[in-house]
Amino acid sequence: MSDRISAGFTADEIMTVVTARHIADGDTVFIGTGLPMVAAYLAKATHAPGVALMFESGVLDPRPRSIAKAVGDPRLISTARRTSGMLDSLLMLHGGRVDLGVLGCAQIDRFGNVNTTAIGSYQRPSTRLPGSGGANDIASCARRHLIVARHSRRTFVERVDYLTTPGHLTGPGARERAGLPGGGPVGVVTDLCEFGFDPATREMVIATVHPGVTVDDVYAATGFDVGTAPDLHETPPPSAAELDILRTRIDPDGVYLKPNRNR
Amino acid sequence: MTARSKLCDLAAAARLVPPGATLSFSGFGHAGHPLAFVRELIRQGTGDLTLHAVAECWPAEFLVAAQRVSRINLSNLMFEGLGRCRAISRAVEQGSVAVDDHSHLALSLRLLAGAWDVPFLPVRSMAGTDLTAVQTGPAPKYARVRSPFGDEETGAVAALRPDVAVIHVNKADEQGNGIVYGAISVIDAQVRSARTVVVTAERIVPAEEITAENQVVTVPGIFVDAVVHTPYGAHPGGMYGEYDEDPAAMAEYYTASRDPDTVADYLAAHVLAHPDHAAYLATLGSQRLFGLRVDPTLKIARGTA
Repeated sequence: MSDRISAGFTADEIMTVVTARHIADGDTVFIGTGLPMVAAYLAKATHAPGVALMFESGVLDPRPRSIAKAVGDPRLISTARRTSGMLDSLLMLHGGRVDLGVLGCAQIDRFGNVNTTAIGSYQRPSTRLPGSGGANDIASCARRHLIVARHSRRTFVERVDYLTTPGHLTGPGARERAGLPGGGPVGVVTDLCEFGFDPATREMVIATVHPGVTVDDVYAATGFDVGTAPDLHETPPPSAAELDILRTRIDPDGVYLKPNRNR
Repeated sequence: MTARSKLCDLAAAARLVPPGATLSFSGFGHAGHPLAFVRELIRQGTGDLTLHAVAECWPAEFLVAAQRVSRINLSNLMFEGLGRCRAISRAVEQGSVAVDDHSHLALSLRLLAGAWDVPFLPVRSMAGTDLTAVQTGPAPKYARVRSPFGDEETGAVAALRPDVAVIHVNKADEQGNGIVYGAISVIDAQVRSARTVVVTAERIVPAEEITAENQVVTVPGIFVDAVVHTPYGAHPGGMYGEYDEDPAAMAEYYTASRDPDTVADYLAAHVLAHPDHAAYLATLGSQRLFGLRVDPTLKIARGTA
């Protein structure tokens, strides 16, 4: 445990580290900006040097020297092994070439279905959100995908107002009936815990709770009834090495990892 | 014998867009959008537009802020690093602009179907979600079809043919053979599906210079109707290989977009007050514009890595 610390990290940092641990060496990972990009950089700098990053802008396998501010950032384009366009990168995804996609969300339900389109009614929403972009394509076609979200009852809801991005839809067999080629969500990473999905019901279950968080804290912040995984345990905290790489090499200026986001 | 030059000025090119037209613009994120053209279109007062907006956040936001848009087929409209496109969000919330949502691939494939002149293309994305269940456009966008070669069922999206596509390129010859360096978004499908294509170019170069790089010609001139020399045509956004985005100018718009009055003030000061693009650039000044130029090796602006 000498390289572990149990305190002294932010919510952003543990979300990033837990996300990075889902990335296996050799994976092709389709990501957007924000925490997912930081997590992919961290995985590449630690246990997954052979990971290839893919962006919907058409950037494939970049090696930027500093953190990119957008998926179309010149830093990504100028260091990529290949640059094409959105149609090209999304057709590679559609063809089954992406191992893992990492997505954000505004609303999410127990089956991992996500809304990034509209809060309220679709035609006259109370809040119009950006829309799907490549998220629906990623969740439809990547072999597996992961969702990263801040935990609140506004986000974790019984029913999403508009289903933008498919999770396990209505439960077992639903993705297969819809003809979706990808395997669906394998986890949801929040600032309180990590969820997995019950293999029988395809419903979210609490897999790990972050240090200092109780299961009751998670229940209180979740807008639907949620169970626990049989092997529920505490999330292994970020290691000193992981924190050092994040703070000194990957995002030293806090472009994405905000120091004031302590839990 | 040489073909007649397609060079014209922005005002003439913008007159190719009639009121009520459907439009598609190049660009992705904060780069590559033909914003000098958009400003001229706003000056001309052309309204009731329909946008097929795959990634054209800045053109769509400016045109909606100027109240020139009635309908948007969209896949994603946001300002990365800033937040939501506020004029668009407000217009949808108030019901003044109608929207129909797609995934990025589905909307791209609709343009590709138009480019190939086939009525639809198959797609696996969007199945099982409200992107297919809520169809608000004038014609349906999505259906389920059975493969003619077996029992498999798949989704299909309907072809789109925009009236006009406006594409900003690094350089073009007088026939509109254009090269875009960096990410090209869905330019291929936009150019081939549109009935009229306008190219705005940072530089106009001799045909021989295009021929020397003919494997990376993004826009074949045979599709192009008008070519406009438009340096800094993507400002306040960037253009890969030419200049970086102008964060202060982008932030000025984003702050102004907080409410309808300040966004109207912005458009009055930065669009309507100038007779043309040259006047717009003159207010920025050569020192500021030069400061945005990219390092030719790093392809990003000087002083940042």
